[in-house]
Amino acid sequence: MSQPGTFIHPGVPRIDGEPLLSIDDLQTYFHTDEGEVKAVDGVTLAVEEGKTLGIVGESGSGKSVTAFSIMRLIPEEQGRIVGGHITWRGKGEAVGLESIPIEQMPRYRGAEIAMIFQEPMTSLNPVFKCGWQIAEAITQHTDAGWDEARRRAIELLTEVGIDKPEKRMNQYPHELSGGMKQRVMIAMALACDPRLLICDEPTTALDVTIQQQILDLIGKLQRERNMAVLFITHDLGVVAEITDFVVVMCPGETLRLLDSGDDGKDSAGFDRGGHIVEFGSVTDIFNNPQHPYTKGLIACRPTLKTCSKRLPTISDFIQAEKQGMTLDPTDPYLEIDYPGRATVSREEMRGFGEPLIELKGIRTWFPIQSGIWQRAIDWDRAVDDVDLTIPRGRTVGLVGESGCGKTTLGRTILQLVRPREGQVFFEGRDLTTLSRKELRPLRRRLQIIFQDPYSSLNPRLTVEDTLVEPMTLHGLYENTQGRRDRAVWLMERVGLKADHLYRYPHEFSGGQRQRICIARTLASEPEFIVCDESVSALDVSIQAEVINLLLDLQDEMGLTYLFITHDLSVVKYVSDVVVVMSSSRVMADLYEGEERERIVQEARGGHIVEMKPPDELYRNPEHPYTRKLLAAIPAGDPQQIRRRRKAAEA
Amino acid sequence: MILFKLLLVVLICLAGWWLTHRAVPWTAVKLGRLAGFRMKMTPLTVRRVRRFQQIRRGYWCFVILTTAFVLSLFLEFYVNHRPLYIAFEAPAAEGEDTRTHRQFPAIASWFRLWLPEAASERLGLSADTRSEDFGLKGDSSVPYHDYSRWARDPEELEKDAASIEEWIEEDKERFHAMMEEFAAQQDEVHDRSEPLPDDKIAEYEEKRAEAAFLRELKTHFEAGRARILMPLWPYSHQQQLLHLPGQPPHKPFVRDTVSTDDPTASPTRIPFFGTDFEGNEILAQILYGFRISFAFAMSVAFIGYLIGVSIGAMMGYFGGWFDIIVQRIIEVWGSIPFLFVIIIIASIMQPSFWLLAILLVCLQAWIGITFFMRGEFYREKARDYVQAASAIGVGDPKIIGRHILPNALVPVVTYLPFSIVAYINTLVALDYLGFGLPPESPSWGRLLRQGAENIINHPHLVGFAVVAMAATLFCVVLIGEAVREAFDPRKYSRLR
Repeated sequence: MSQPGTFIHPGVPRIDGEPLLSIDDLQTYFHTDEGEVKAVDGVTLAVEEGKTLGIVGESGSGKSVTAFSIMRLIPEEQGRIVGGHITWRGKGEAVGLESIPIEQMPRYRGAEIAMIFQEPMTSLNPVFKCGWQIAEAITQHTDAGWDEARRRAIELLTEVGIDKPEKRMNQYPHELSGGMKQRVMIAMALACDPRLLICDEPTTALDVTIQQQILDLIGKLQRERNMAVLFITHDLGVVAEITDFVVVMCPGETLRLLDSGDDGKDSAGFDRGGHIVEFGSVTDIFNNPQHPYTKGLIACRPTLKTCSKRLPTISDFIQAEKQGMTLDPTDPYLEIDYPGRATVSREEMRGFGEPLIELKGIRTWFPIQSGIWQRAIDWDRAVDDVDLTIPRGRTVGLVGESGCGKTTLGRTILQLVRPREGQVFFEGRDLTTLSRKELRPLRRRLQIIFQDPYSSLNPRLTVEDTLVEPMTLHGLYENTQGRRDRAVWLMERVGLKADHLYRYPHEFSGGQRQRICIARTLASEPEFIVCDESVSALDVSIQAEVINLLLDLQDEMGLTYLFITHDLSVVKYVSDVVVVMSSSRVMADLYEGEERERIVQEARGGHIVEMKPPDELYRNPEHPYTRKLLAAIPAGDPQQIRRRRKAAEA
Repeated sequence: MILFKLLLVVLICLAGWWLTHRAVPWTAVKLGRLAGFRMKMTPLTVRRVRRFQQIRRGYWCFVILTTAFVLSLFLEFYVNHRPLYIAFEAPAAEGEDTRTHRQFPAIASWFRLWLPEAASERLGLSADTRSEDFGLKGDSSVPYHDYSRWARDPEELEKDAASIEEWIEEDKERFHAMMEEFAAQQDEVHDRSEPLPDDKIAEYEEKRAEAAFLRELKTHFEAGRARILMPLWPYSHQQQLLHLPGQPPHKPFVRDTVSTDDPTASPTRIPFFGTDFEGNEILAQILYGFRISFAFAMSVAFIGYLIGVSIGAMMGYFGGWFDIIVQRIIEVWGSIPFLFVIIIIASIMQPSFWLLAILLVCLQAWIGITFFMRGEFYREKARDYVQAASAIGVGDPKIIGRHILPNALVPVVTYLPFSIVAYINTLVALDYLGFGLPPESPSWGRLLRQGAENIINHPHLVGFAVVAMAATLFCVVLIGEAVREAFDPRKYSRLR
């Protein structure tokens, strides 16, 4: 196997013995309009019986394509396996999965190798009952009759921890919650006692508390059934939680910097697709990472311990490695300087800490309508009685699980959604009483950055049009030329090039798009920005870069942030105050007896349950819901997890 | 001659292609730049267009159909019974210079299509000619077919004159034979030297004068004083070929020249594609029918979409009460039976092109697209870029027009070819039933009805109309299919 550049990577796995599944130098290429894309380019790994192997990597590293190649699920029109071997020893003799006729694949899919996917919402067929779908999988692969299959299905549902399995059998997928659906998916995957379970980001779409439950469930099933598990994820914290061995995959492009020779020309390494850079046991990977990419991955994700002012990024590690330095990714005080870092501090700005926005008794309820005249028959209480003060120059972190109303609260502040009751004071003016027209001049000063960088830019406008529009609208700068100059300045400030101005959004990567969104937000020179899950959809390394950028801009311009996220580690890292939101529906399960009755009766929508500075909140959570949230954070440290698990067992 | 004409057809097609696919887009881009637009396709559009071009059959149909439509806008220049150019140099009277009379009737008839009558009068463009101006007698229009035949070969005039004289002799002979038979019945002998009756003499005098006039005319034609340039296909839907031998309809593909009893009618070729019951040439009817059907469908689709897209956009964007009320209105409006309304109106007044188009728009065409646009806007307005725009403070009209609409046009583009098919069908059906366009306008539907009534004796009437309609609709459907595929974000793929 050829290695790019000068690095000899330490842990590229060797295959010895006869593992259950072994992949040798797999190459899967896709054909696109722009030419061939090397999705997987040299993957060698082995999954031992009864062990869990994790594949970690950022998007574009080819980790999912590896799984799809094993199952031969890649449509022929789109791509194919061009090299390497996939050897499966399910029933003693070795089968080359990459070369058998596709007609024979159903013998292995489901029966010997099962797979669960990221999106439980779309992986179940919405028109069939859950029980029927599980029973069908059983009848497909065994000669069990329908009654037998039904009985097995109920057993499986019990095994994956679903209460009242008989009732769930007759329910349709939309009647179940996300976590429940993922459990049903797992039950389906287990239907025929597979030897290997491939989990492709099974918890990414779920809330932290549910994620914890699903991870525990997969771990338990794996031990009980002595299955092999191939666990694919982008989240190192999750990997630490569940796996025995870890393979780190990396998009070839990331290593361009590392492999470029002294004469500045790109070496062959850049041309390479996604491949493995490191392999090892989970403790080795976390405690003694060798490859700079792995180190970067570990370091750039803020943990609860991180104390540095700015986050290190993967390119920092690659740069350092190139210059012969060694950085310790687990050092919580690691500080790395980079060009563009803010030189001033927000604490010195005028008016720092004075209240900028005050919410009083905000209730945002959405009507549930019915009939041909669409009368409101009930209310969806997204935000229910929230009081909050946001001081100038500070960051207020807002956390909560999905459905707790945190996004609605952010949009209510900006009056994108009008509240049903309550006041939003901005510099003493009540925004809720202003008409749309009166609000328009104020909109310049209150802005929002969205979660999904793919849908928050108009695909039909060039970057320049996108950036100039807010300036034109609010009459900033005198003429078009002045606005264009400002757009160039903005692009450079957020770390993009001026000649990117004439491109369209789809020509950029996710991280670059989020930078454009930030530039658009800054174009109107706001004072207050709602960051609505702004970094959640990004890869960890890009997330670190964007967080750094947001922090620099805050220091430079004295911005005030409302930082909405579900990621408790990130919120601890960026915030000055953390606000935890929840609703009665979510919290009811935490209580028992009369207290539970009271909470259910109250049926209060999303509201604040706890508000404290981050250090204090994490050290001393008072509300039971906060405690539950904090317990579910993946620690990202295998030793700590082991300690915790032991404590739980004892 | 045939080869020359075919070459001309090819040249016209090439010119049409160049005009449609080079000149018009280029001009549009230049004009757009002048008006201050950037006039550059977004990469997304570029990719879609490229994918559309890769679907060969759809793309070729698109090229052929657009070229055909643009060419059909200039149909008067090459399919017309009027000459492109006609001139006659009147012989000089005493003390005067020779005066040449020139006219461009075909071009004038083309202008009359676009300009109001008064305007083309003022330009001195008259589609009608007076025989007197061109060396003939009388006030009526010049017989262009004869005129061009004479101009091509002045000997034809001599032949025509000779045939008149021949006819006189024959007629005399016939008269005498009749008289002899009559005399034989009376047991008398008919004396051939007896003078003819006065009325016969007067008739023969007139004929002889006509022959003499033709001979005199021959001198003018031989001197090259008369010039005429006929279009490529010298027939049109406005001309009833009554001088042809026999009763219309004439069968197609009859290559013989037929001489007749009528002295004034010279031996004439029957048009290659035959005629219909009114004596109109079929190919000209089909071609002009294509123009009117396609123009009708395009206008209906365009106006309908203009209304439907704006209403659907507002329904989707504003939602709420506006949406609910308009939805109910559409439900009621959509249940009005289109055909009965047209029949009632047609029985009161003769529908014209625009009346029919507007009726179709009002009753039907605007409704279908509103559903698509409403759905599209409902989906797009929830996207973050719309939220971002309104967070910046962009007003509603600008959000609808600048932000959402360009992203919501996919259903319009994919739906358009299929609705054009539907409106062509509607027009043909109305014409077939007799509630369509006024009788003087060319129409496929009327041809179909005439043919359907006489399918045994004259199958060509149905045949040509069906071939033309099927070819057009087939092209449009193939285009529609290709457009839909090119705009589909997912390429065809299948998990195995």
